[in-house]
Amino acid sequence: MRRFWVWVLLLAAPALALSGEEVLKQVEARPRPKTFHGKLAMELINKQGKRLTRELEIWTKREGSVEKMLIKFLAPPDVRGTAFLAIRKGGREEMKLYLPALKKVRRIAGGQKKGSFMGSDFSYDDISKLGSLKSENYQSKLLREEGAFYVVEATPKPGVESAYERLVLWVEKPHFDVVKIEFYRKGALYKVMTLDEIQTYAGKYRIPTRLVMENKKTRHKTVLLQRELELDHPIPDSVFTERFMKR
Amino acid sequence: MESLSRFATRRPWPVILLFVALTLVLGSGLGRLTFDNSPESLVPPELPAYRLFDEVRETFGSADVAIAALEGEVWSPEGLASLRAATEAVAEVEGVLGVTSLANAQRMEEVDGDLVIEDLLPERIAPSDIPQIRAYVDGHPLYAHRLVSPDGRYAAVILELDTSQDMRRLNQALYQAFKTHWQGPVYLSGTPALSGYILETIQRDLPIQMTLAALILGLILYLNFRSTRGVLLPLLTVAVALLWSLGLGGWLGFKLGMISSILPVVVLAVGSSFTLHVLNRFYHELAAGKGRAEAILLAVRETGLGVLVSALAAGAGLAALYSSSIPQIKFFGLLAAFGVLVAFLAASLLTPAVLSLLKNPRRLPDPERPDRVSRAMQKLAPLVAAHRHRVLSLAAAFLLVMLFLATRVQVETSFLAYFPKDAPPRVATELVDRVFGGSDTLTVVVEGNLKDPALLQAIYRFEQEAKALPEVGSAISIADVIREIHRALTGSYGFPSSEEGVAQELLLYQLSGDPEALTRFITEDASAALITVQVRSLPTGQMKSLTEDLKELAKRTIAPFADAVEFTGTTVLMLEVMRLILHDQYVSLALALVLVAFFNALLLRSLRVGAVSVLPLGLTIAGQFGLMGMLGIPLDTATALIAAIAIGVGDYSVHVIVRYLEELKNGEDPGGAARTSLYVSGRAVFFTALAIGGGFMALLFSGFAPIQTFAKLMGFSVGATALFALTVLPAALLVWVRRYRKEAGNHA
Repeated sequence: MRRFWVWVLLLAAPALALSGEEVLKQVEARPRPKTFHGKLAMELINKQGKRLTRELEIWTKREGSVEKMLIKFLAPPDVRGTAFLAIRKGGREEMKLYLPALKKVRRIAGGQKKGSFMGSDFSYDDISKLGSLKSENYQSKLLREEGAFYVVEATPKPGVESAYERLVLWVEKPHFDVVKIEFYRKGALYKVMTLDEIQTYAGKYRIPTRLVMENKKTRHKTVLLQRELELDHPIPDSVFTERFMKR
Repeated sequence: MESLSRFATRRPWPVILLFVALTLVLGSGLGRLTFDNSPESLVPPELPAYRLFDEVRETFGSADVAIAALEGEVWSPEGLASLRAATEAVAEVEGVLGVTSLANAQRMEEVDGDLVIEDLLPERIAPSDIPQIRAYVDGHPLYAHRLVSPDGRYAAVILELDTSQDMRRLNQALYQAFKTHWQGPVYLSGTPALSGYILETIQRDLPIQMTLAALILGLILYLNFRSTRGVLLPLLTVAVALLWSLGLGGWLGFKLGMISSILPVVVLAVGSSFTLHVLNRFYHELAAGKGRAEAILLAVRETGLGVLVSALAAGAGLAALYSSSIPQIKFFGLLAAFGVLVAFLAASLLTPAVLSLLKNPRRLPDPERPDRVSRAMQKLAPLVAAHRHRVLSLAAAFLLVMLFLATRVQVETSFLAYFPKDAPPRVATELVDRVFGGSDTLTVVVEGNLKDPALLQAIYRFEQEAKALPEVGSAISIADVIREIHRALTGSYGFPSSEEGVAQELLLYQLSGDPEALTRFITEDASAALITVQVRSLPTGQMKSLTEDLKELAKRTIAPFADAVEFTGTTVLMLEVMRLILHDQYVSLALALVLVAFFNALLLRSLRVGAVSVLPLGLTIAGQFGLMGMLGIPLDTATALIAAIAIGVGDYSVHVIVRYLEELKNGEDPGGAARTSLYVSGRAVFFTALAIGGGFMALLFSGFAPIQTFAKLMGFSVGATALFALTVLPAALLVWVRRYRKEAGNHA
């Protein structure tokens, strides 16, 4: 009889473990705030260890399929007031830029997705992966469990445009927090992102407050610190306008 | 030495086994020997210009670019698609830090009020896209004439490279990557192509030169000895010397470059003379009816001093090159000196050991028996004695004329001059010079507040004035990038009026794409920037004056607004190398002559004799430089070695002195001593000169002009030293060394 239960347990064990896809689904199932406002300290560290700090204020808002984001530079003083607005409706994205020295708002056209996020080692794509990985775009596989972490490999499905050929994610078990992502390109490790401080806001939102992205090729590093966060506080639509950009 | 030789004769096997064991141990380093002819192998790491070069490389990724020209129909969908495939492929090659071509260029312009920032080439290129792309490129100062030729026949791919890589491998990998994707001809210019070609040529030439040198030596040895063992024994000793010195180089991690590739021939030519002397004497004693063991001992005793002095002198002359600040020359000097000393050891130990094991030859020709050569020498002696003062006056006149001519010697470090006209890298470099205005780069480092519009304006003015010079193809920097952004934003070329404006436009550029694209031009904190000046590949003299003109221009235009302006890049480093070569030349020459005089004086126990002994060498060196000045042969990294090597190989004249002193000691009058000395040693000098000179002739088959020139100059030097040793030297001995009472060094 005892032997029977051992067999049952052995057979059932794989069913109890999550598949890679399920892990990513769980990551995506975490609640996301409708609005987000906070300050971002961005530290750029080059391979000689020289540091350069930028400070930004960021507002985002989600309403159905519309996503809006406004970023304003607070420091250094010579770029203070520079503002960047992105509004994504369905598949289309509209981007505008305000340079205070020219006192003009310019619409920007062209592919920005692969580009750098505010001159950092993060790309726009990397930043958007933080919110939602869009697991349907990936073929995923649970590589192993490392103590409290699931290690999942995600490969873009054929036809899905991606700057990387492979991602390896470390997902912490209780909250399904992504704590580390390795980005592979052309068979080699290209960048590593570590989210080493994650805090709970409003009792349900798990928000990384310290993110480090290291480019293995250029040995350049960016540290992002998020602070003074306000989540789900109403943000009026007037924030995402040219007038507010210039203010 | 003699007791060691005696031991070798009595117990040949331990000596032979010891040589075999050491040859195996040291020789196994041969597999570790690598080749490197990167500019780094020529530049001393402690040089200030190199530190800046290194700093620039660390900060901006690369201080050196190479340009590839792809020939074909660039302005066609297929052409652009192939260019894109080729660009992507070379970006994957190890050692490539960055690639710029039309395929990854960005388009930033205003279209219907929108600021468009995107890749210049769309994903799928349709024939209808071409006119628009071409119009944009033609109006873009960063791209037009730089990335594509005005007629659209050539596309340029600008490669930023890690120059510490194995250039031969890099060159092949680049070529392979281009050829896989581009159907038309591919021209690779710049350092990797030149260095890669140099390495390929060395590796191809090296075995040929060694075989040739061995064959020539073998022939001369045969003419001298008329026996197989007379040919094989000297060759065996130099083979041992060669294995030891090359193996040691491998163990020490040395790398062979163009200069050090002559090492084997130097060791072969110089080293074989030692055994030649010992064998000459051995056969002479055998022919005189002595037993084998006695003949060996007598041979070593009689020739020992001369061989020791000439080995020490050769070693000293070559080791003096270690004082050079150029790494490749340093290592060459060290290994060549080591090889020569090993050849000496092998001649005094291995040769007696092997001889004692071999049966006496059936035929016993006496190489020292009077023949045509020795009879000619005999006639020479009274002539020299009668006209000794005239000979010395002629020598003095020769010295003065040659020294005067030597002042006209030019220095040349341009790699391009090394190649035959049809060598692929030379063809490529000349093509890139013609089509894109320059294949060489000068890098200007500007430190200061790069957000200051006045500094940017100054940089732009520098670039404009530089481009007006006929030798300059293009000059680009962050100033051009900002002008482009400014035009896209405002519709007109220019600079923002404030620091904030510059900072914001820079930020915009960063936001628009790859941040790395910017760090090639400017540091993140905008405290330093690079101006890349593309210039034609020029001879060293012209490059020097161009660099000075540009430095002057930078001082006038940029310096008032910047904290510092400095020039670097491979070209600038090579100019520094030139300065060092000139400086080292005097140091190593003086050092080598002093060392030789010192050893001769020490071993022959007379300062006066030491001074007289370097006369043939001094005259030969003056002759070399005079000849170079007269014929317009430049002093380059190869010919810079001739003086030191001439000293190394030329001291066989010491045999004449040794014999002359010996005769004086035996109570001969100076005239008789000179006659006997020329009669006995003259023939050996003649054949040694023939063997050494012949060995160097193998270098005539080198693929490099400077090495060929080096070989010719060595031919001259060896001949001249022999001539001086047989004329000026006895004349000088007759005038200044008429008595020799002191105890002469007794055969060491």
